[in-house]
Amino acid sequence: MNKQIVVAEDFNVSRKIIVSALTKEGFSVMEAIDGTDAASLFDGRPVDLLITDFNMPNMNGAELIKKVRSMKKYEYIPILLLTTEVKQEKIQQAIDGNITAHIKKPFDAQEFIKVVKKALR
Amino acid sequence: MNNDFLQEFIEEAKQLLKSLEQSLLELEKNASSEEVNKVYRYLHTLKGSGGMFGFHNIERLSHELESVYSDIRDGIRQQDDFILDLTLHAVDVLADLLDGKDAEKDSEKIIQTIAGLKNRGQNTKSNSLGIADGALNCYAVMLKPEKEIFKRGINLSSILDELHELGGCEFIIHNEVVPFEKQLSNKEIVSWFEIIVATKTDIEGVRSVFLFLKESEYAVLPITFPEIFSSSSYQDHIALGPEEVERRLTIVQQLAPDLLHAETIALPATQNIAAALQPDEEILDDSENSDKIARRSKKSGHVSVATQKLDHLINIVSELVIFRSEMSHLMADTVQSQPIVEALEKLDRLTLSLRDSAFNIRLVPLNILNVKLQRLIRSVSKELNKEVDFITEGLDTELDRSMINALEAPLMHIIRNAIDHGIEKPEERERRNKPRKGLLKFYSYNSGDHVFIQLQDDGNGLDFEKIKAKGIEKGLLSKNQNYSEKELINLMMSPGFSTAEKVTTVSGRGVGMDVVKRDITAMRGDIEVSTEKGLGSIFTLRLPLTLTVLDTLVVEVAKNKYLIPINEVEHCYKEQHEALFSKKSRQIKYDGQLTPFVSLREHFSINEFNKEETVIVINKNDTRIAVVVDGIIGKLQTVYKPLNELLHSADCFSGASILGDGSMALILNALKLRN
Repeated sequence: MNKQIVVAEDFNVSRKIIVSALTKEGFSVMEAIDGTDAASLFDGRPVDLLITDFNMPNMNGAELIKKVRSMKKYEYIPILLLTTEVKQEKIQQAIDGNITAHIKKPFDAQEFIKVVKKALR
Repeated sequence: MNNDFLQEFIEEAKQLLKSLEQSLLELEKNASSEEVNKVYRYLHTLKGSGGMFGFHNIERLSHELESVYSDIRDGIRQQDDFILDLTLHAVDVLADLLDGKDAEKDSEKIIQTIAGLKNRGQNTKSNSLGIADGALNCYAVMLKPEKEIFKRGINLSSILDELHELGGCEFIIHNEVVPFEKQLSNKEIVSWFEIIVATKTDIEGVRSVFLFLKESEYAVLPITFPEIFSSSSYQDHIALGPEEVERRLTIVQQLAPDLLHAETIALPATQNIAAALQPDEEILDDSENSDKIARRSKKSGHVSVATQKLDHLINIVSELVIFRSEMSHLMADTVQSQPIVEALEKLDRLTLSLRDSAFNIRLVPLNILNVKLQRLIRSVSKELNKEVDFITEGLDTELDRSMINALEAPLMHIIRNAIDHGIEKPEERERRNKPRKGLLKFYSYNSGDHVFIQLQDDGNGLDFEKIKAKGIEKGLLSKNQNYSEKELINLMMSPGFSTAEKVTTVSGRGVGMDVVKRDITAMRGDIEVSTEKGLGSIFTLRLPLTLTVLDTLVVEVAKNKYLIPINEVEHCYKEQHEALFSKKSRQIKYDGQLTPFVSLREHFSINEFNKEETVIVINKNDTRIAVVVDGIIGKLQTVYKPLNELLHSADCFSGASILGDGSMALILNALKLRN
């Protein structure tokens, strides 16, 4: 079975770029347009990786991550957080100790895939 | 040719093949030039002595193999899996040739394959020389993951795997207050790791393994000179004493032998370690091989003795033990002076310690099974496309040699089963959030008179649904009834039951778990299985330390004495004959349960009974049966003697023993009395 990746990103163009880069590598991708949408995908199905934006309507990245981590099945899955500003105090506090790595936007596609593959090991 | 010498040569050559096998397996894990050299030397020795004793087929085959390894040693050829498989196969063929089996064809095939290999090598020679290998670099990695690293979705095992993939790796786990595997399963890391890696990658490559880790969680230090371990940059992470420094230097020496070469010569201390590590180095050089091997055995303080001689010694000692009891028996009846009593006591002590050390000679560490198990795991996991890490602990636990031989088949079967049915395919494991590689743990320890062996896998656990379905299909179970896990496990180990669909060459060898159980029981041992769905199974074997000494309860029936193994006895009490035999069904109530009993007098068709009977409740493998005898005489440690083939029809006796007064007593096999 292919690796199942959930991509949560409200900005359509960004999400399409990410999704196309991932599908090209042969991953199965489930898209979510905001935090609530993404959270609904964590319904017990197998998910191998979550890639999420921080600033999203309805439920932001930090809340989404907290929710995902609270579910037994997804307690230890790798999570990559897309951010524009890594050093923001607020973000740092909200997600510290919960995510696998930050990916700073904009990013180089090759570099991005490398990180995704590593997170999926 | 002198026959004694020939026998000696065969023994030595077998020893040599074992070492060769061990080195080859080592080579697979870690392709060091040191190990290649060892393989080369073993083959060389074999060639030389084989020729000397007229084994020209062995001489020729080892010569061909030797030439392959001399090429590898000289860098003309690359060590690869194919060559390794071929050589391992050749080891088996060589063993067959030694045993005088007809293995000429196999030998010829290998020689042809090697010839083909050489042609191929010549064609690509220029090529392979063109891609010069980068030199090995060595790094020390200090890995101090946060306690809750798993909460970040980081899989520590895969980081460690990635390190392994870089090249040779040696882990030193610090602060292992909780076993590391336990930490992994608890998802809570309390240890930190010092890892020495030998790799062709540069420092950035090594650092990239830790991409997701915080700067504070790891450090990579290049090892370029021996003093690094005592330097302040190293001591900032961990303060090392001289011995610990030496240990690390040894590791580096093993992982990258050439790295610190120049320096080791300059440093007398490290040179000593290297020398201590390879005590055989200078001795096993060239020519005059048999002499050299003899010298080597002397050096390591081992003497090999033919099993026959050993058995003879054990027999004499056994008789001495019996004679001692006889003596004290005789003396007890006569009046005696204090000095005689003291002398007797001394004799007692001496005989007992003589007996203990004689029995100890027969004990061999389980270690001798290690290579066989490793090879089995290697071939089975390859065949089934599974990845398995084999961890052993307590291989120095000792058992009677005959038991170790008898253990081999059951252990192999359990392992084969664990890999075939237990451990999942790597992809499947990943999906289940388990590490890609399955873990098979071999754990053994001593406890009292018993040795425990545990085989633990982290696979899927027993599939009770499947067992039940199979049981119903075979008509052994009823569809509508619920069965406990214990009942299903018992069923799995009963004759005629095997869930293996006999398709794979692996588990379809016609033997099922029932044979394992039977083998273990024949050794007076037990087997227990515990399993957790999705998490794996543990097979626990409990075995007596030796087959020959037995603690027994001596009972009397119509003036004859019988022995009951004391570990089977659960309870003894007296009862009036009337009360026992009042009901038609031969049952007593014990521990709230009806337990069948057999009166030995009745069993032997003696129709007179005593007024007061003695009931002995026996519990063997969780099955209870009571035996009614005239009385209990006492406890006795006896030497077990198997019964003659002709007596096997009397299967309510498992063996015989000679009592202190020189008379013989049969050992009861109570469970067989029921039928």
